[in-house]
Amino acid sequence: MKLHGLELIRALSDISAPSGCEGRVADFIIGQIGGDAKTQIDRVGNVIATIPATADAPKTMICAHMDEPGFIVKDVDGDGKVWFKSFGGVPSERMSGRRGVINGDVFCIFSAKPIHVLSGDERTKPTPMDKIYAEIGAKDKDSAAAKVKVGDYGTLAPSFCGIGKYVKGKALGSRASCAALIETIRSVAASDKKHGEIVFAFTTRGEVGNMGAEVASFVASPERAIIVDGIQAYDTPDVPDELKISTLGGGAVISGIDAKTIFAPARVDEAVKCAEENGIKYQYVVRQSQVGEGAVVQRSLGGCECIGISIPTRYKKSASEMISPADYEAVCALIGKLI
Amino acid sequence: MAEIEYLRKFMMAQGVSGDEGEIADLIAKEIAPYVDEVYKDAMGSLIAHKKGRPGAKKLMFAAHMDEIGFMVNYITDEGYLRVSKMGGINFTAASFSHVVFKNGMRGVLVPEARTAVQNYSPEKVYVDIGAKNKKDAEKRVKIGDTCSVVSGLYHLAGSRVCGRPIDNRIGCYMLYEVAKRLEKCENDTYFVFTCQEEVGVRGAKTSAYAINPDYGCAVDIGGSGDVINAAPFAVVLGEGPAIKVKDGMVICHRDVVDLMKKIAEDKKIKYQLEILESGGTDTCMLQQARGGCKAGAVSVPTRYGHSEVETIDMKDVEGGIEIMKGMCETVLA
Repeated sequence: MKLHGLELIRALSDISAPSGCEGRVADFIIGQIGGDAKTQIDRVGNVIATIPATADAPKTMICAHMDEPGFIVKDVDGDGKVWFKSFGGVPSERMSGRRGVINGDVFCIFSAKPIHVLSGDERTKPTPMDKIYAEIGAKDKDSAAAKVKVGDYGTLAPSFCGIGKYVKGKALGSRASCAALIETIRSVAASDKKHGEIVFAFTTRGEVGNMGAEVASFVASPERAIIVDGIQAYDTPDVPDELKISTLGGGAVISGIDAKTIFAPARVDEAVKCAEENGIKYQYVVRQSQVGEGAVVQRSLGGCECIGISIPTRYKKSASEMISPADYEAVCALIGKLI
Repeated sequence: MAEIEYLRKFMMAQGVSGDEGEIADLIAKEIAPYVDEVYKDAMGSLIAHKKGRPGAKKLMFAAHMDEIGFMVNYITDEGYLRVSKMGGINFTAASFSHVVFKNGMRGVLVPEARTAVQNYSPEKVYVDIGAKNKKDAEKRVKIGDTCSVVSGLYHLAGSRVCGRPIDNRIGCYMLYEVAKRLEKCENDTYFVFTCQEEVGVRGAKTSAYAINPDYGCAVDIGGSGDVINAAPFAVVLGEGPAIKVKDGMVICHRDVVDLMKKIAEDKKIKYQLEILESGGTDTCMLQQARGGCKAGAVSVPTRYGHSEVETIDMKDVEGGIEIMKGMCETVLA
């Protein structure tokens, strides 16, 4: 069944698909695209959806990563406790006590030494990641081994819900970006507006060095690119105004630069103008924020003209990433107008 | 002999990383009479192509045209500007300096009051343009505008000069001189003025991919071991251009190093060899583009890099120009 808007975002957020193990979300995305574009999975797992050109215009790639931070099981001990190596940058203090999921359906909680037996120093410092284990409720090694083995992948557990006028969930910034791409594909397919070839890349391994985007952009060799992702919104207490990267509810983020990319000035100006002309709420951000996929896409092959359009996201890399549906709508509208 | 007024012209045009339009347009205009075509690529690098004989090897020169600087990222209620650093800014050197925007507006880059020198950092400095408040500032400057420390070029004793941004308008000037002086172009030669080098050798990567050269030669400033308390480094000002052997990101191809040495010896040009532990230039991107190419570099021995008093000896510049001209005049196999 084709889902739309918040239902689509909810479904995407709730799928467990960490870097290197994106199959579940890839299959879901392909199902949602259906016949609206030609889809394929490339050699590194990227979902590539192509809509052929209807006019002589530059080839554009629109890119969002579909993976999320997670962990890989490195040991199942004699007591049936699961030890793991995490990746993608979730801090340990955001894991302890949380629910997780391994292999998409084995639920666990992340646990560590009980607070009552912590020594003074241990109480005030976050528990290091290698002291945190996953408890799957198994009574011994054999019963744990029936469900989980070394090399299996896990993530934080699904937790999408509405919080006032916002929504929250794990991997929400990037998965809402994937939803924006899916809805863009549908609107392009339904519209008779002329455009050049458009390649939609739902990329793998965005949380561990943008390797999927590197391959996707090399193969597609676009002339222009739009990178879509969640971007930090530090519009929260204790952050001085001048360090606030973006604001929830402030509209689609158009980036001038990120930590490793200076976006194409002419295309950035075009995006700003487009937002203004169409009454789309936007915020122009010039911050050396996270390293996005722009760094590799812009400089693939002979280079391309690259811009970044992002969804403001609070509490990134936690089980409760928070976005504003209005910002999501603005991002969809802006991408739709730009192509 | 090197013409200092041309160098000055190249130094006075602005081009902070990612915003190289002004310097690119100037170089395009100046070099056009001496090459067959001039164009820009998607990233913003400028390519001046001088065709060689049919079947000739491709020789790509690269000098980055961007300079370190700042980008406005926030305007405070008082009308001060917070900035992101574009490239390797030495905040001790940049603090209490005049900065200039593309439209000619001046400002001063200063640290917050009561900030110890060792804490000067992007978060602790701001630009004061003299605006009364935020509204007043917003009339004059926009988020995303770039600025840099005011350019200048001054004579010191003998053939030495100082100023900014000698890094790397000196390289741009040298390539321009090579194109101008060239009589016999044996190879299919590309003079590339790359963008975004100071923020991580970005522009050279895509230009080198597109051109797909057989030989590559970068030209940039180097260091010098002849300042007080310098780390041991066998390169000094005035003893000729430095032929790069290695730096932190590249080991130059022996054939290119040997070719440069032979040209220098044949033309009786003094030269030095540059062996650097760290740092890197466009050379590494030339070397690793596609299936790779034979790459090397000419470095101009430089004191006080990334300050407004970068100091070089014009005799070294002249030698570097002649070595690169010699490469163009050698039939590369």
